[in-house]
Amino acid sequence: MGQGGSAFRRLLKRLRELRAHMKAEQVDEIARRYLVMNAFDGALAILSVVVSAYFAMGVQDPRLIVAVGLANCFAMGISGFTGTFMTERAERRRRLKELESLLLTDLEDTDLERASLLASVYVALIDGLAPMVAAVVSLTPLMIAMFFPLDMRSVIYAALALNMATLFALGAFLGRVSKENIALSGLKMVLIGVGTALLCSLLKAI
Amino acid sequence: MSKPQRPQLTRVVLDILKRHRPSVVELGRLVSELDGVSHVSIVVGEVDVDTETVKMTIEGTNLDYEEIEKAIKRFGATIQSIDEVIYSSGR
Repeated sequence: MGQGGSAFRRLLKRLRELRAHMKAEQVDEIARRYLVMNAFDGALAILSVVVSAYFAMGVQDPRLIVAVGLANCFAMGISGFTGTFMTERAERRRRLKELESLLLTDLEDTDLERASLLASVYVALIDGLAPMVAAVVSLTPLMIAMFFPLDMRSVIYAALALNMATLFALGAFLGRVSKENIALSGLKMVLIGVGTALLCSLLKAI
Repeated sequence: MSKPQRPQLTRVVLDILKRHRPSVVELGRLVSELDGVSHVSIVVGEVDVDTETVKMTIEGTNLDYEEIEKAIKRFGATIQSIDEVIYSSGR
């Protein structure tokens, strides 16, 4: 216990040190921005899949919508993670080089360099996971319908309700961040969702 | 007859160049957690747009300068000069 306890304390100390550097780089603020932006992307993308599949194309098989939806999720997740990781890494490398010339030293193997890599991975994970989670939440009723015989119309409405709830939660979160009216901010997001759904249902005309 | 005790490093004053954040609080905490350190004082001197120069005084018993240097380097700061050193045998 003594040795394990001291190793744990050392690990906590190292994490605290790295956290201080990450805070200095305002990583939380960037991650928060990515979280909302990409969860919003994910929710709207899945809304368009559900609405166009059911209302425009008349798809009655939940497996089909889930398959297309999940494929969409994976694509958004992979694109979010890799794209953000490469962009963040490039930006942070540039910043490290700037700091090296300001501090007149080589910053290789310092906490600054480690925190910079950690920040890129952290932000990329948020960027990759946010749209996937938002999308999977909306797909849950359809996933359940794959295993239980449920009325397809009710399942679709449940998926839409969850999607609108996700959009409202994202808007409310933004409202809390900006210290504005939380309900109004949430409703704005829902309105954007309704607009998107109406636009997608127009595909029926094709 | 016991061997006479060799003087040990008990005080170092360093001139350090660092960026503003993480702050001197984090730098002070980092150094204060090193073996033998009993007192750390940091005074901010010149402040630039991105960086600041601080005067750090470290006191304690049997200080390990290499460890101090390593910790400051790991923090991402630069030791610009060693302004004062005291070795004392405690007699």
